[in-house]
Amino acid sequence: MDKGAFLQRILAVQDSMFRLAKRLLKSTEEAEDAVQEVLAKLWKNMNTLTTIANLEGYAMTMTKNYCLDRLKSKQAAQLRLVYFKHDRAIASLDQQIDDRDSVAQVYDFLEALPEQQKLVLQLRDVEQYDFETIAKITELSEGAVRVALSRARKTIREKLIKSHQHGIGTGS
Amino acid sequence: MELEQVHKYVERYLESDTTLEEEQVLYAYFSQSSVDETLAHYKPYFAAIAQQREQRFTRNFDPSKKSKPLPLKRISAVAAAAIAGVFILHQTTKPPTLTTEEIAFQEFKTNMYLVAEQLNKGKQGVAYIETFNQTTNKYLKKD
Repeated sequence: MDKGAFLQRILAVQDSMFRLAKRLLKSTEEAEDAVQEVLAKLWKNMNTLTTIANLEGYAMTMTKNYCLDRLKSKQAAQLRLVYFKHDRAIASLDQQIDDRDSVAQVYDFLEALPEQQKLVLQLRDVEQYDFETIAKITELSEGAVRVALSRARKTIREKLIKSHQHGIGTGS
Repeated sequence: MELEQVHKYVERYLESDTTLEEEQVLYAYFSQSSVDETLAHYKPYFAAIAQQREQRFTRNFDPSKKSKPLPLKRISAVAAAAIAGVFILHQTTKPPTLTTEEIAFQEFKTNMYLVAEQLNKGKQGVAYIETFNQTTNKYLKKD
């Protein structure tokens, strides 16, 4: 694979990588750092990567692993709380700007999901990957992906119904 | 699209049974301004997902820049701090090294002390001689 083509392929997936990183790391800056790191790693290992047919999937797996590692070290440093608060601040800003409380609230719902469900939901609903690809990226079985996705969607639905009944979701 | 059909899709969507194409249909349905009351609570979710898809990676990745900017910055900052720390520590604990001028001055000072000491001894000797002279004069006068 020549350099230009390789760069084209990894740059085509950078937005997906960023969105995934942001979902997991919560902070935009951290997500950007993560993507830059992973892109640099991919570029450095270009020669060994020529055999990988699904480079995009591989890039996403690397991003996922990188972010989960970051989260682990962040948890160890007890910085998680800080970022959580940071994200809440952004969410409330969204509310003010958009005047769409209910949409901003969905981000809180997504945030509250367990990591694996968050990951699967992101890959399916936002990135629209097929189950086979998601299974590869997450290193789970397709069955496990479907179960996690289903649980995530149902959890969100329950919360949507509740907030709708309480009249919070009047923006829609 | 018929409402009943949407309901069916939503049910299957929740079971992870919808195909990507069917999910597209759902997104299209929920992106309309008016959604049936029985499905209204789902609208914010699909709106949030659509919003998510708009997010872009805004930095420019330049492969010619081999160094990883942030970690390198951190490493160099830590290294600088460590070097500065060691330097300051050295400055405060270790006695200052002497320049040749200072060494020369120190040696000159010790030499001068020694000279002064010898001079004092000599002075005492002179005093003794003086006393001796006075005594001698006394006896000489008596004679």
